Amino acid sequence: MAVASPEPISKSERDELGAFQTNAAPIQDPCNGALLHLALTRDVTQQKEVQEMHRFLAAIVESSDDAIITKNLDGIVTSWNRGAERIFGYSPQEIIGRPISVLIPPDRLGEEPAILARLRRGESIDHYETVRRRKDGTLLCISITVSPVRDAEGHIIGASKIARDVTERRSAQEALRESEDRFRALADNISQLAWSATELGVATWYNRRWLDYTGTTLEQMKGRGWETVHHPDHVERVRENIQKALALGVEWEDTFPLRGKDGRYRWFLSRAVPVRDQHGEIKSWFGTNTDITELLETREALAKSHQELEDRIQERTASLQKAVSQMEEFSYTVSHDLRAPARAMRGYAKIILDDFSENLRPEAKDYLERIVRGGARMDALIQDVLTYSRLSRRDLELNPVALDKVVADVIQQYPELQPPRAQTNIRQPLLPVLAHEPSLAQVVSNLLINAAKFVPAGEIPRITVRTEVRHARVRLWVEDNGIGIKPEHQHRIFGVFERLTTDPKSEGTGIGLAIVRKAVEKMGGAVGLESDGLTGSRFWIELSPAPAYVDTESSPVAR
Amino acid sequence: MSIPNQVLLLVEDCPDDVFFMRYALKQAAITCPTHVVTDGQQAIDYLSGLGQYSDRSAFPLPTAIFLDLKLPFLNGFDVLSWLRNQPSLSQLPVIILTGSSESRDKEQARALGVLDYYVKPATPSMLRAVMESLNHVPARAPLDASRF
Repeated sequence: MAVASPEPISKSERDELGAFQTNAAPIQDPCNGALLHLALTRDVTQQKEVQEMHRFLAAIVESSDDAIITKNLDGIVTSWNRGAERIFGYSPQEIIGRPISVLIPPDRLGEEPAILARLRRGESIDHYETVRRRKDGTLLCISITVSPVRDAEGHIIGASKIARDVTERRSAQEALRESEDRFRALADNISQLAWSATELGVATWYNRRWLDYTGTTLEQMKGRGWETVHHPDHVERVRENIQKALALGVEWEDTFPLRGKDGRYRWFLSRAVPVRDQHGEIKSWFGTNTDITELLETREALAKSHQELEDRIQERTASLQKAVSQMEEFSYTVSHDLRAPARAMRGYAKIILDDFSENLRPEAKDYLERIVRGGARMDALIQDVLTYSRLSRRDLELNPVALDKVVADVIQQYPELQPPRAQTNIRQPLLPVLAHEPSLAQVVSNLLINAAKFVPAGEIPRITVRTEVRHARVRLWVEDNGIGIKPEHQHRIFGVFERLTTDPKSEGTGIGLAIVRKAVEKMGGAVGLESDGLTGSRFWIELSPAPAYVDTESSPVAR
Repeated sequence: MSIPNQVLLLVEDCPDDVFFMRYALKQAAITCPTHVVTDGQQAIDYLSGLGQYSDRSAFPLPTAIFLDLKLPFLNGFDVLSWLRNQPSLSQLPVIILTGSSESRDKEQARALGVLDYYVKPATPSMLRAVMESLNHVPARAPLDASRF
């Protein structure tokens, strides 16, 4: 020992064996007066460890984010860590020695006596969530754990309290709950039934409407309870389709009946989509069932009424066809049988005129000629009526027709349209039209013969035929020098059996112009007439131009 | 008009029209034998040589037929169809002489291959034209349905 100091010394040492405390002091040898050094070394290992543990624990308490507080059984704060200062805003100097109740909002003051009472009984309070007040008055959501503190003899002398600020967690939870509430409000109030299921298809939740409609409880419906409200004829197929969708992880859609609480089934269009997590794994399924019963009923009613309509149309078409074919038969019979007596009448009268002429008095010849004319007129009438009725019930197929050729043929056919009996002046070119050629020939001959018929006594009919383009249609004019038709009679001229003459020699059937109008209308055209009732008539018909001549209005060919 | 070897069969139910036909033939001076039957069934019996028509010397097979369309029992088209199915008679020239100027009758007759189609009454000029064309129809030669 190399202690040379005249002063006492103290020294601590620590090695792997433990901690040692050495105290040394010089003393005078009473025998020889020599200065001696007395040194005493103690093993302080245990004492050291306790001290270190204290420091360590204190450091933990100080560095904790949680508030760690102790209080005695009167509720007086006895220690206050840095976490408590941070959370509640009070420094240790401000709070130690004051009642813990300064932290408690007035409406929760009743909590503290209850907590203290439990502590006295030796109970702990674990993760109790409550509200406390900061120094600045703001309220905090905290989770507290309070444990009794006992002395060496086991008497409860106070409490330690660990408090954690859970305001953020609480508001996150709050937000989640609100979001959930919103979802539920929505899910319960949409018009569809809705539900969710696990990734394996096990139902976990149904909305209010599902439960109300089916008259079941969530407990009854969970798992595979849904099968009980399905129709036995459909449940197997529905189950299979669901399994398919689950296996493939694809959207599911199906239509099936579900039984309501009244025991009646309604039809639902049902869809479900997989809900995936951020890794794309299916976590659950969300599905809806939309009541389409009315839609289906409407569709069915529509189809039924459509079918009824179809049936009725067919029925009517059939009866119409029957009527038409009866009409055809009637016309056919008329054509054959009604004309036979007229033919016989004319035939015999002609034979008498030809073979017995020398035996006849002039009056007899006149009467026979009247019979021949009457027969001819009857035949013409029958033919015209037939033509008119045929036009009324048939559709005409339209083709491009060379109007100039039709007009030339008609004039060729009737001597009364040729010199010397008439002058027919054709202003070329006559534009081609879209028409049914036989009907157009009939129209043209009726118009020309009509034009030639009504001239004042002693005049030769002069007829002008020309075309012009009007509003993209071809208008054929037939102008005569006849007696004309007074404007007040013009509306009647195209009617059936209308004759605006009393001249017995005119021999018209009264159907000629009606045939003109009917045929032209059947060909999509129009007819008309201009006359002052004095200086002839100008009849016109309008038809579509033949396709190649659509642009004739501006073309030099047109004029 | 001298028409050697022609025998006509008129199928006509109306006595007036038979009269006018005979009158027109006389006026046209067509003197060949003309036999008359008054309905479609009789026409088939005559052409088949059945029953009362079995004596071919009294009822010789015609070289041409004037056929009305509207007839009792079997009509003109029935007779035409039947005729076209008789191998030995299918080439027999048929002239339609009818009161109908309906185009559907004309078309149907054309489809069944007739020599000509006339609307009554028969006139001397019409008959002369028919006899003229008959002379140009080679016996048993196929008929040209597009002649009219």
